[in-house]
Amino acid sequence: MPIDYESLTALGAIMGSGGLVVVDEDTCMVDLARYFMNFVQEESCGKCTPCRLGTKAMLDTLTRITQGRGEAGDIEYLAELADAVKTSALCGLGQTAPNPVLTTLRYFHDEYAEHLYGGVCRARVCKGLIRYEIIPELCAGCLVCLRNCTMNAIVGEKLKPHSINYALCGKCGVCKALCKFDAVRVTTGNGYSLKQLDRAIVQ
Amino acid sequence: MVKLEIDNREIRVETGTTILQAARMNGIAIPTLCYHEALEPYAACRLCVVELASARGKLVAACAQPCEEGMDVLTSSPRVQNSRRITAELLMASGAHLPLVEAIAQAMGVQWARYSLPANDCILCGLCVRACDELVGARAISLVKRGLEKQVAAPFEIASAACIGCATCALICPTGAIALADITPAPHSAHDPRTCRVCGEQSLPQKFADVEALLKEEVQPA
Repeated sequence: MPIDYESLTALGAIMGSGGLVVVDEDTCMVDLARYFMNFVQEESCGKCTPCRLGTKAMLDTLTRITQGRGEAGDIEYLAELADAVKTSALCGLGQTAPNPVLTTLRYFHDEYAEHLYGGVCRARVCKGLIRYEIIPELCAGCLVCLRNCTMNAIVGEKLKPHSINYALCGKCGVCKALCKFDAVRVTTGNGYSLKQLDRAIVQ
Repeated sequence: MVKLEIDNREIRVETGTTILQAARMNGIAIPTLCYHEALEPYAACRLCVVELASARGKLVAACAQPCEEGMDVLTSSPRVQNSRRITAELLMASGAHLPLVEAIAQAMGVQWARYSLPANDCILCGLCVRACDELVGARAISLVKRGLEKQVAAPFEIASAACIGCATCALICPTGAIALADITPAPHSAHDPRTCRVCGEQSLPQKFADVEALLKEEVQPA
């Protein structure tokens, strides 16, 4: 992949700062699009209609999807908005603002559909679609997660497997970061792990 | 003179004519919102976008784009209509209650908006601000803040001393977002107000009350 003006344009990217961003599988592409849209929406001067209102409409739609509150037709609406803002905005900011949406839709359409219709965030980033779970077989009952949980959402006794009270869990990930036994895992998709979900789909 | 094509019709216009002017002179309708014949083009509403077939289908604002030799302009291609539809739909997000926005949306075939924001009478076309600057010369109001918070306001959001109370902004406003309020005597006016002999209230600036002197000024330009 040569890094020159024409090749980047063909990909839907631009030559310039932030034009090309390298991420791994731990980044949710929908959340990434939301992050960049939040940035340009705040930068919009508000003079022209498509950029002032279009970036906000795209941001709200993306936020809705990442929170697991997406509605049928959201992906099509995003694509329509992004195309219209790109072609009709007054200045370069508005004309490039939809690029993160357009490129993630083009190359990671599956991830959008998973968020919207499967309730799955495969990168396990979108808090509305993930759940922390303690694996009883691995949990040593050391109380580290229980003591450090910011929401006091972990219940359990010393040397006995702990469990999470989901009514309190804020999904901050402190328990997973501190667990020395890798007993905390993140699941997505209606409480099932991705592997379970894949298996269910295959069956 | 420049020769160009608008909707496959050959048109000749004076150099410097905008696409919008050329189209309207030839009976081709292009919708506008922030455009006013008496004001400089603003190119902000993006409703007047047209497709330049001669420039790889680029969309430009017809109100601000001067005609160029050999241009091939399409005023109602699918791309143009699509763009206008989304723009109208976005305007409906906070202005669906305004008859003007409703009429525009209806003309574009938009029945309802898939997105909504708190209702706002101001559509930020900037006509009031530009009229106050270009026509009146008072510059009493301006567009303040940015993005979604952008609004029309007097400096520091306090009654402006530069305002002469001419009501041009209220008259030019297409949505009726600017209301007139009788706040005589004008607070901290930079203009010397004239006292009414009957009611004793101060309203009209002395300079504008002296009609004869004003007319002389008009007749004999310095």
